[in-house]
Amino acid sequence: MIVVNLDVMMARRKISSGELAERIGITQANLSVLKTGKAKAVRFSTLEAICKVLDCQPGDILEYQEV
Amino acid sequence: MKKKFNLYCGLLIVAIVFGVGLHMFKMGYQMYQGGKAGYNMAKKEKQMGVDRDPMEVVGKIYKMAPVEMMPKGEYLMGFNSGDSIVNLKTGEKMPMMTVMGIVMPENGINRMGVLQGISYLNLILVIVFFVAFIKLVISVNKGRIFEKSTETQLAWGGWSVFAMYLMGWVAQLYNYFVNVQEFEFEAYDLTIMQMPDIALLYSAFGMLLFGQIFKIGRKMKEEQELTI
Repeated sequence: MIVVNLDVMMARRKISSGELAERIGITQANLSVLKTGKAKAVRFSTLEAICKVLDCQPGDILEYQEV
Repeated sequence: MKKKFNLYCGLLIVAIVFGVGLHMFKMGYQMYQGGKAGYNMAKKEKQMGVDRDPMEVVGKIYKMAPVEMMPKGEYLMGFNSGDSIVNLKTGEKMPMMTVMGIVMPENGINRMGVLQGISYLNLILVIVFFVAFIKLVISVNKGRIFEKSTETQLAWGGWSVFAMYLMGWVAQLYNYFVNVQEFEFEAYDLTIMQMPDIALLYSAFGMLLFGQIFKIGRKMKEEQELTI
């Protein structure tokens, strides 16, 4: 399964959920869905926006784990 | 969009009510005719001084046996089963081939109780179907289409219609096997002529199929909503 390590990156960059959601253009509810691993899919445009705001690579926030 | 949906739903309800209503009217009318004939017979017998217990007449109704039959091979082409009917317009007495009828043996097996029980069960299934259908119409009008409740209502509707089809077969087979035990005719073989309407089966499986389509739609919607 794919694990989303958004919390870790947000803590490093010292950015809140509200600010991140506003800057990448999604609602806080959707950001929460992403952070808690309930999302079924992520658009490339959303991933690109997250990486731009957090100044990181997709691999820094997405991790594959064997179930 | 919902106007057309509601219009088609309304037409379907009218068609079902018409079909069920016509069937119940026919049954009621036949019972009325039978009751009237029984009453007239009892009245005539009383005038003739015959003292008959009224319950005996009622009891006779429960011994009425619907029979379905085919003429045996050697009688089929010759039309010489022995049955005949007179055409009042021409006065001609014509040989007749009977395929469905109601006979009233003196000491017959009481089958009307079972057949009536099946009718009442069918009535319950019709009510279940109607409730599920009305709930479905209300859900769609409220915009609740791709939800689990929609699949549930379609499942209830589909299975109730399927059960109605099965009940039709139960009634036919029960009547046939009782007839086989009770009757044997020189010119006819007992058979099942009137089979339950296959359209019921198409409707039942159609509803169950649509339920699955809505389920797939719901999953797709969930996936879409959870795509960030």
